[in-house]
Amino acid sequence: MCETCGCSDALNHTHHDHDHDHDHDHDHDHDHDHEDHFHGTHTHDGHTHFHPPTPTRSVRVENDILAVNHAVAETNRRWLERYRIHAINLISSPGSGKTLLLEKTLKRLQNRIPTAVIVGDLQTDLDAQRLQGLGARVKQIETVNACHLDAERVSQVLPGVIDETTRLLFIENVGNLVCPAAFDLGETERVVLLSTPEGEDKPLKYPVPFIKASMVLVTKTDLAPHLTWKRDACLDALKRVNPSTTILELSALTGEGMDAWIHHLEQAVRLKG
Amino acid sequence: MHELAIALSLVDQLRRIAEREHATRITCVRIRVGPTSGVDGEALAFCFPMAAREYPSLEATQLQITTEPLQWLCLTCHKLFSEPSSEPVCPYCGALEHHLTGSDELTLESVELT
Repeated sequence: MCETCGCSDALNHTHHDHDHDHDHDHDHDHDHDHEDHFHGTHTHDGHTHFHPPTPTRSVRVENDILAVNHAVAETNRRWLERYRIHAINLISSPGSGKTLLLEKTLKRLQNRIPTAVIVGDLQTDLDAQRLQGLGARVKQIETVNACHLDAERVSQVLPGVIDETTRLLFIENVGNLVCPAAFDLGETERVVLLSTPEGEDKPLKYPVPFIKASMVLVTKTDLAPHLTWKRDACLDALKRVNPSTTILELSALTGEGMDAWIHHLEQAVRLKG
Repeated sequence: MHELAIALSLVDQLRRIAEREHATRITCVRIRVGPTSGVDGEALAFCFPMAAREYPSLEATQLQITTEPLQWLCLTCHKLFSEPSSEPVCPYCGALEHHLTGSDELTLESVELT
């Protein structure tokens, strides 16, 4: 027990040692905050009074602030593992070509790999509509004002979008290069898209999503001849931000480079058995 | 502004700690934010009072956030250094090849209670 204040936890707090003598000359009307330190009984200006002891104590926590999201993400991940589903969290700025990439990818995988898609957007199911009729089950999540998907939202729609035949799941995150990077969804793989019009220095300006990406797709390569796109500088920037990431360059519009992407997906699904 | 979502998670944890510890107030919260966590410390501090406003135990709680910058890992001498330039020179060996690194932790380190 603490001998100063009587509380049960003597080790985890300290007391203000109160060695000043209160001979200061302000008019002392006691509207200042005495809550954080122990004064006890004392006398000054001709009167005696008592402040009840309200000591602060320190408690060590060391908890992950996103522990709840991580726990749900782990549940998602175990669930996807059990069904042998390869799940890809697609992250990019708005307009980097996530939905066109998915359209073309679904067409190529149709009748070959049973695929499901979860699409996150602030408003509308326009993306889900675009992806209908391509052989995949598609579910839109309208986040309304939330700038990212979290594991809980994904877990709510997972049972409705996958079944025992599903082998591949795409989670198209909300178009945003900053916020989604902080939230694990339970994915197997995190793929970040960088389109050529965004500029080759983007990995250096927005490093976090690229640092956490297992694969980076440089998209819209068909536009490169019309831009001041410096391919080598882009690859160098990506290598400096994340030397272990795999980089593929493609144009979903023309189909250039799509074979390597499709091959990667086929291999990932095959590895799941 | 995903920091509001993070502030709400933080408030949930703090409420549970206050209850468990029979505390009337949490006066101070210490947090470590890693540079690859994707979280901005100032934005988190800005959002926290909004996330906490309905809880008397979290009134006037002070947030102490420790952040550290991203660091470059020199591929030649394997030393870490901080440098805002996108094409830095290693201060230890002068090499030009490095890659970015940093912790992604987002940790509620400790609290002060009354």
